[in-house]
Amino acid sequence: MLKEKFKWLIVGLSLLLIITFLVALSHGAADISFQEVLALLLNEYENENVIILREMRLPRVIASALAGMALSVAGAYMQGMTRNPLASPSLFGITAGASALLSFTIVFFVNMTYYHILLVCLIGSIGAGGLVFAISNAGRQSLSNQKTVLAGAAVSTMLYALSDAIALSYTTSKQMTMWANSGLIGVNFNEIMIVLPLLVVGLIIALMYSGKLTLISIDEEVAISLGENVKQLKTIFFFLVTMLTGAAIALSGSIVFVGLIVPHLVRKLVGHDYKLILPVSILLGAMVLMIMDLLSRTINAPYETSISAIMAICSYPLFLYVVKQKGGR
Amino acid sequence: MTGNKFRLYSLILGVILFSIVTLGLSVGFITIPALEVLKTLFKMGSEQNDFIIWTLRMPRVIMTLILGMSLAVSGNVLQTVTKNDLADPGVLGVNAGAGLGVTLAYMSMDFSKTNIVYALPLLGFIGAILTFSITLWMSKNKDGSINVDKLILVGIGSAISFSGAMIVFISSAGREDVQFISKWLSGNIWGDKWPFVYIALLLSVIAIAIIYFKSHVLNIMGLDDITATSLGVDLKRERKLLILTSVALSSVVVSVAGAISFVGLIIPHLSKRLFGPKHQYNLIASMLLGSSFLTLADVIGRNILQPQGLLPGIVVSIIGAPYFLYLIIKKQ
Repeated sequence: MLKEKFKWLIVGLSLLLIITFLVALSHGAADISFQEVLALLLNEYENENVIILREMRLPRVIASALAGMALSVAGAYMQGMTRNPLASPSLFGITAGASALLSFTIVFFVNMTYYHILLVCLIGSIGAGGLVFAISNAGRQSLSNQKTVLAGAAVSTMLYALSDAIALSYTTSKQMTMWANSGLIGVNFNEIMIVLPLLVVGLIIALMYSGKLTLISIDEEVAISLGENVKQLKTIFFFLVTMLTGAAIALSGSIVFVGLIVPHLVRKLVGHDYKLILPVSILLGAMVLMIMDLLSRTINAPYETSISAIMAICSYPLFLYVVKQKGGR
Repeated sequence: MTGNKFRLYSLILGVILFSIVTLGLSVGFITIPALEVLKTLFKMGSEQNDFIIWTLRMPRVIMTLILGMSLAVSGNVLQTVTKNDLADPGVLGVNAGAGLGVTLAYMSMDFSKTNIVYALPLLGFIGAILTFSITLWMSKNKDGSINVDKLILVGIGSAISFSGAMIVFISSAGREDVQFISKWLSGNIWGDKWPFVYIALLLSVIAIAIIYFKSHVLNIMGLDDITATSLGVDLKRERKLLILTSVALSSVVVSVAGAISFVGLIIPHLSKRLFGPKHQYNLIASMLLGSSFLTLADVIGRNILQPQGLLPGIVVSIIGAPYFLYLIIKKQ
């Protein structure tokens, strides 16, 4: 892809992102005019609607954008390092791991602060991701598509079952359901500020390593012969992915398919160089989740619809397309 | 495996199944001693026990038996036909398709009427067969043969998406409906009333009979395609018939009971290991083992963590997933 063309793509996507941001802010359960959105952003005047915007909608839209960025980049990294077009955080059981561990800790620690939740999500992500990674790496045919997806599905089912069982038996299921299906409800700026440093650091590291990711995604042998320590890189990538995913989950609850679909769309646009894929994934991922969150707020307003469920439906055709194209490798 | 050994093994499994059923009938909120259970079965027990066993526990136990048996047989057939021992109605998205049918029915129909007993299996079947058609169609190679890898990938994707669709549909409905669907998704057995049992029993017996009469075809399908064709089997037609029957079997029971994963995956594997590759034998083993396993899981689930208990689907997942992971690791 030409540099000039790439620049225009970034500019175009950024414009679209801003438009999506404004639309997401101005639509929702409460009827708020576009002027009031501008009033909020330009800090002009204050009335009831502007306060609704500032306290409820703005943090939520920002949180969804951040989660979208993190999940898309995590998905791109997983697909690159495993060379498996179907790799993504949720298919690797990472989401389920965070949720199972959270379910477990909620029982024992009643007054968890947001720091604790974040920490638990991170540890859970690393645990489950490591388990699936180890299982799909064991035996012959390591990291084959089918094996990875099946191991991920099985580990997820088991962990969700465990987390259901714990939640049901200790009557914490209400808290868990709230968190799992609608983590974005009631997000506030304090929570965002806690997760933000982690996300920013993660995204910067991700962008820094994009060249090496491209190398590994093309051919590991070549990367080795060029003097790269592939094993070490893969370990860094693994922690990077779980860090980004864990942070996103702490922010938004479990959302599936974002990390799978967005990198594929981006690859259609810019080709196979991760130096180009990652920035575009960040923009597109933010946009996609903002739209999904908007849908989850408006489809059945004033009630919420699970964002995860909406995402699952919307990505189904794309998922089929991806498998049809590449799945049977 | 010889005929005599087969009879001995089946007898042992039969005895195990019978003990588990007796256990299921005897333990619960009020525990009835096993001897009393047997007396009540022959209509010689007290009136109270008669009510507890015949009205409360028996329909649930029988429904669980049918469900376990059907899922295991359906998994067995799907594994043989697709030549992949990691296939089953859950993995291939059949159960989720049936669930979507049930959800639509649940939202549009009055569930207090009795006619849903007939409508549910039908809608479940339609949902399942549509889903499976999409899955099959998406996983075809250019030359028309089926790519088994893709089959499983599309199946899992469909299952995730359709569960999402169920949540979206149902979240526009009332509170109780949400509870119903979320329980269905985690594997509840809710059709534990006699009318549901009758319809499930009737349909599953027909489907299992068809499959059992085709055991010799299933044996041949385990071989490679050229050998099978040279033995005079119309592979395409038989494959269609068997797939259709097994999808029907699982979707019908799943729509009146609930989505239970892993039974259709691990039981066929276990029964082939114990009874060998001959389907005349291992189908029987699948039926016995499947119903024993699910009934046991349900008994455990109903009796630990009183009073609300655990859904059988959750118990099955916690027991079944590690075994399945072991299978994945071992798979060549």
